[in-house]
Amino acid sequence: MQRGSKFKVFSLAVIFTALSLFGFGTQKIPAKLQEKIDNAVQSTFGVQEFTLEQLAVHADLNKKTPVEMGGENLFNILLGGNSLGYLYLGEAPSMKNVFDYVVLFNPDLSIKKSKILIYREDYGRQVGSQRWLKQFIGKKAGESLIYGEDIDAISGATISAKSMTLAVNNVLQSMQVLQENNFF
Amino acid sequence: MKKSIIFTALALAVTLAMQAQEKKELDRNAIKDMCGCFEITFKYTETFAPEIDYEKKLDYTAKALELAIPIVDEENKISLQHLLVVHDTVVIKHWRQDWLYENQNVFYYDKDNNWTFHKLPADAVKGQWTQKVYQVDDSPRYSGSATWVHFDGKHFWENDTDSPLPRREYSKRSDYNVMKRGNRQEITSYGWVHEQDNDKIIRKEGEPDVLLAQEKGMNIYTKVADEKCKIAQDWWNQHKDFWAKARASWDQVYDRSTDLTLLKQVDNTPLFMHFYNLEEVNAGQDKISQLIQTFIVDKKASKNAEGK
Repeated sequence: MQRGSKFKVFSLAVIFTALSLFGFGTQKIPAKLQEKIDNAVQSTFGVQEFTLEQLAVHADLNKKTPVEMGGENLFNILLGGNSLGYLYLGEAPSMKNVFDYVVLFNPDLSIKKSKILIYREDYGRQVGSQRWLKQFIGKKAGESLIYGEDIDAISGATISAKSMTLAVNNVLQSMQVLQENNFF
Repeated sequence: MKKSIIFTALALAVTLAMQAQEKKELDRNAIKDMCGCFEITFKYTETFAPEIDYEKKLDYTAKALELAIPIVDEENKISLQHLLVVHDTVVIKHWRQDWLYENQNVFYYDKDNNWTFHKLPADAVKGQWTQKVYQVDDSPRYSGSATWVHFDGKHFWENDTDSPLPRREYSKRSDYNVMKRGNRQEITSYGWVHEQDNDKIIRKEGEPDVLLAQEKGMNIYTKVADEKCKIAQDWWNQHKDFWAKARASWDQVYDRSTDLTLLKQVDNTPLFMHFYNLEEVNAGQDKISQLIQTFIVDKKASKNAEGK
């Protein structure tokens, strides 16, 4: 009986902790990821100082986009009040885990660069190489990308490369949805 | 019986001493094989990086003609001065490598232009040679102690040690601040090869080192006729007195058992540029020492520096 009570108290404590950590806590970009985002912006746009302004996408509009836009995903990159472009931060599946990526856009919503920031597996790391990722440069909002046709396949990283291609494709479709709804 | 044991022990001791002396001569010959006129190709390429978002930098390649002169050739010390010949007409004093036998005193690079003094145990350096590498102005660069190896027709020396950024990246990169050099110098039939396996490291006070990227380096020295470097030999004959004074001034600085920290610039000018002015007028040792002193700063000791 006593043992049962202790278990109940312990279970409640675990549930409460889990809820306070994940359920009620606000989503926050981890420091390491934020540092990598900042480095990506600096190296891509050639700036040291800039501001990332989160763009809040209304829930109704978010339902229409293939990728998640409701959290800390879409940012305006500002320098002295002027927009340098946009940044989309997303997560996509690899073989057994997920990886974090960014797509950096010019003001005309064409891709300036894409980068994989954190990869959590030993296999398929080739997907992070700019020799492959540079294929996305110049693709515009609304453009469709098919792995193996528009984007070259990578031997040994098929799952992650397919996943990244689909992710970027969905980001491009989503940007078009926002554009058509006069979001920018 | 007792006499024969003593005789055997003596014979063994003499044999071992002779072998050690022969080995030392092989070492000395290998070091001096790096002297002469050489055509050099420099090749560097970044290989692995732990972080997926790291973008490898472009390869670096260059060519040069260089003369290496033995400016000191003593039993336990050999000093080689390298001189660059540019476009067959201009000579630039390049790096210097000193080789010291069973040396115990070294300065290991820490970071931020700081070198920490280390006293190596005598038994740890037995039979070893310390290579001390200096900048164009004879300020320190890196040091390491290891054994010359002569096996299977190969003659090489290997060592890992920390160093400042190489000249080719010194003013171009700020994303790392220490290069852990894997140096391998091998004497070949055509000259010698300086092979490198380097780690580009981010070092912050009180934090573990972070590896940014690794690189492979191949500097291939092919021996050519001495006449090709005649201009460098002539230049050295004219300037060697000045640089002897410079080395004497630096020797006073290195005669310490504490850290050595140097400013990167004084009056917005790096040390080697100040040295050009002194070299032009063949300045005296007092002037050279005065200049060096303006670059030396006092700093707390650090424990990050590493060399093997």
